[in-house]
Amino acid sequence: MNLKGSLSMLILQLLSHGSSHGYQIAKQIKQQSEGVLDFKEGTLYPTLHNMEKQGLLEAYTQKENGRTRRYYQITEAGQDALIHERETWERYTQAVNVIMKGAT
Amino acid sequence: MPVNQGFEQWLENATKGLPQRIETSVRAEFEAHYVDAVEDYLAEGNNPDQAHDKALTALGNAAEIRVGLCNTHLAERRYLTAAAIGILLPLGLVPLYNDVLGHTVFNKILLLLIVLLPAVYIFKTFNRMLVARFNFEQLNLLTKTFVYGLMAYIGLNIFTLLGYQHQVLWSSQANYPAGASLFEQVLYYAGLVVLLLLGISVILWGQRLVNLNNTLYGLRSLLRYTMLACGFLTTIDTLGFANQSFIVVKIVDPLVMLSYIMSSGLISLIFVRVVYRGSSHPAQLA
Repeated sequence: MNLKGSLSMLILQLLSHGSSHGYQIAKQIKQQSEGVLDFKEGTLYPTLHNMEKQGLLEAYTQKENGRTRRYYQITEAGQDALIHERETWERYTQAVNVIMKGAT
Repeated sequence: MPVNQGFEQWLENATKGLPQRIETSVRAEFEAHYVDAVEDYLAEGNNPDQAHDKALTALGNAAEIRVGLCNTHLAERRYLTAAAIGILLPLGLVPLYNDVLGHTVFNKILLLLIVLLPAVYIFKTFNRMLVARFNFEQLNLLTKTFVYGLMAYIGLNIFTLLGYQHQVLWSSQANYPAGASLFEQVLYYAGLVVLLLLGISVILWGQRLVNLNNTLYGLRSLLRYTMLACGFLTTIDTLGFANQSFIVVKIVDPLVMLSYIMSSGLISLIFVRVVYRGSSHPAQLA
């Protein structure tokens, strides 16, 4: 399923539970959606960097097992954006559901 | 765990053109991701070759990711250039349509601004190369100023160094010097092509600029129409249908040349910074 448009919301949601690195975020999206939300993992990074530039996320690096990991955490602006995105999403899905139920 | 050659190639493609500081960080991030993925695929029972292949495939198309990364990390610089062009062009073209350029201080300042116009375009092309290949961002201010000024100087004189004694012909065939050699003619027409491209670029870049979520100190609309008008005028003039103005720049000695280069560079830097300060980041324009 194409994640375009909703990827940043999913990232914000996942990071609202604590900081995480790119691979972990990609894995969580795939696992929690039971494979329905499948995407190319590399495309996650331009989105993460973009969100960092917008001030929605902050990043810090940490050395682990010889690997330089870059962890992302949600900022206050990111929390606000998540609330807004969630409300928009709920309105959207409700509207779609009403139409789809009417169609059956 | 050693990374395989396919991944190295992928990494190269995905990070090409990024400023060195960012490239280093992005590479480390992708490497960590890749090694994690390979480990997981190995744990699932894949053999090493399969694990590497699957991890690489899961990353996706390197070119697509490069575009995404460049849009994020180079956007600011691109829009800085557009903003600088937006300010410089309307100012710089004012005396271009005068038949005689006076010797007032005001005109000299405007002349300097005209000198900066080609510099801005050269920034656009070379800045990325400088940043990517020579770590330009980390150079000190004096060196940056000199390089920018030098680019302005070369930009203006590039098609006048041979045969025109520092005469800068901006446009219009009416000013074509009599008795020029075939080589000079080729040079001259090449210059016209450059100016034509400049005019078209201004229009295109102007469009990109005004699409920014960028206040530009409240001058956005004014800038938009002035810039578009200037872009069209430059294009039309270059095609030889309009004015017959020309501007002469004389470089008398190395000291003057150096001060000219440094002042051009300094003004370029100031413009670029002042114009962009306080504006929203282009990454918010999704």
